[in-house]
Amino acid sequence: LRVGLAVALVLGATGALLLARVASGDVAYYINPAFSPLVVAAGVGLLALAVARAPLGRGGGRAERRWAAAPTGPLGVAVLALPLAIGLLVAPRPLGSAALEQAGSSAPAGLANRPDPGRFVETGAWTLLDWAIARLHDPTLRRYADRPVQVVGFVHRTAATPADEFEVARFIVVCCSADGTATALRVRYPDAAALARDSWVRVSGTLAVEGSEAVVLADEVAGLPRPASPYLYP
Amino acid sequence: MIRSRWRLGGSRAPLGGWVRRGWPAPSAARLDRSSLQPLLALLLVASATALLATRPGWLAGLPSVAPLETLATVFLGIVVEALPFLLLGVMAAAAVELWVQPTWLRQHAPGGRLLGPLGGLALGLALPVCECGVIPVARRLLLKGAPLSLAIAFLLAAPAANPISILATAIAFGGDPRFVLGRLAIVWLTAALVAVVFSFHPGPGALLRGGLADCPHDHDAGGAEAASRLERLRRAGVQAGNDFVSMGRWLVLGALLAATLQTLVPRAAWPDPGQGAWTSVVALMALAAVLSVCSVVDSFIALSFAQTLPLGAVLAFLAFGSMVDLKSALMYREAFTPGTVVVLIVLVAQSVLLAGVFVNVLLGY
Repeated sequence: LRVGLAVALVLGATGALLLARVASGDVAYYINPAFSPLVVAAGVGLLALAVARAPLGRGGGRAERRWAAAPTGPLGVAVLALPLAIGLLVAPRPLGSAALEQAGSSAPAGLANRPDPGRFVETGAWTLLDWAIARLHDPTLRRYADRPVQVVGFVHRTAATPADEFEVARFIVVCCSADGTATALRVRYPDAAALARDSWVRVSGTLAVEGSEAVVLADEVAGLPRPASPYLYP
Repeated sequence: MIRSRWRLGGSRAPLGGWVRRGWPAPSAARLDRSSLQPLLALLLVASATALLATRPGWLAGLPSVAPLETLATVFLGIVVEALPFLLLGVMAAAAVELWVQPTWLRQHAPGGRLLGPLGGLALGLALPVCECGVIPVARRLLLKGAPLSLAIAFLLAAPAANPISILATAIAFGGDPRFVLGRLAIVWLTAALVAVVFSFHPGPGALLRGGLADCPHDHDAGGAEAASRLERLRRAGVQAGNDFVSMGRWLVLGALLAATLQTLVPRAAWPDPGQGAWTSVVALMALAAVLSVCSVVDSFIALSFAQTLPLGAVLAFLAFGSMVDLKSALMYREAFTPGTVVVLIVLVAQSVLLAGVFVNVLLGY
């Protein structure tokens, strides 16, 4: 296989992968969906570059073949094909428990720019992002004690988590998965141990404050399919 | 010994090679029946990829793969975010190659130690390219005979000091002039300073990578005028594709390095920026290099630190990340010799560090 043709095939396949990920919605695992039009443009652009390069050197003379020589060797092509290989070999997944354990959970301090939501708002409609903002203004969430909670997130449990507890967590992403920071609420629920790690749930309950820690006393934990947009965008 | 064609940085056709020899005559480049075979192969591979992408990953279900999924998500996040901007850059570079005549550039591009850097800063203001896209454009300008001082100032300034990045910074910080003007000031000062330092080199050609240094600058798009519009477009596509491949492999390696560091080194082990005038600046410069996020959007990430860290550290994050990060540092190799890249990075780091500390200590933020 000529290296020049291999370059064209890698460019074209990478473009096709980008377009397929946008079409399936999985691109939201990697970047803020607001950038999807740029990804579509990149996919189309890569396909166009591949089409321009593919026929090179097939019908011309020496000058044409020289002009068409690939600007890299086989190793360079292999490196260029890494996103394609990883994209096809590893199942697309949003950041989850493994990333949370690596990064810890802490809302971006920049969210403190957001106005304090105050205590007389309808907390039952809050997302985990709203709770993260509220926590920046009131770290114990004490003033929200006894207020209703209804949030969607993934289940996070470790070996050290009590059997009747888990964390409902979600990643806050500004631009792409590289800048994701996790935020979580502790939840007390009798059947917590039966919940699969990284499964998506809707937690309904009431906020309680025990000492300096807030915990959601769950009335109901309903399983959900993974949302199309798994991250929260400030 | 590794054969040169297996080297990552090796080039079977040095950049200056086909450019110097000019484009083949239009008749030699025309498509014929045999050209259909590779196009069919491309169609087949692209279709198969799109089909396979709808299935779970081939390694899905293997327990040992789970830890790799976070790395894959972060890696692909950086790559997917950067690809559109790299494409924009290589297409702008192709436009320079096709439509900017070397004679015009030699006659009109400002050179010298004062006008060269100023010209580079001005060019940066006109071209909305990020740190991935700016490198192919700067490289193409050098190939066309642009003065080194202009190209370096443009290379360093454009990612942060272009209209889109300036607007994004203003939006992210609510128009706060401390962040918008502070970032511009540090980037412009650093870019001009580094460009002036390099302009003192007695043989600027020695600083450039082989293909560029050998280029006699007496070419243009060779025969492009005689070619049909479609053929010129195809040539532009090949040109852009070659630049994309040259830069893209370093982008991929840089993204892999950044993703590996982010996912394998626990966040708790990262240096704590604290409030120190020096340490906070150093920590955020390191963070900017590792995160490798596009200069067009990094302001929204810097917003996370704006409330809690000294202003000088936040400005250092904004300025340094737009000029040097893991992927752009590797991509600089496509334009400069390894030694030049090291000196360039050290100069930029020193300048940004001093500027950040100056803001923290002398301006009292």
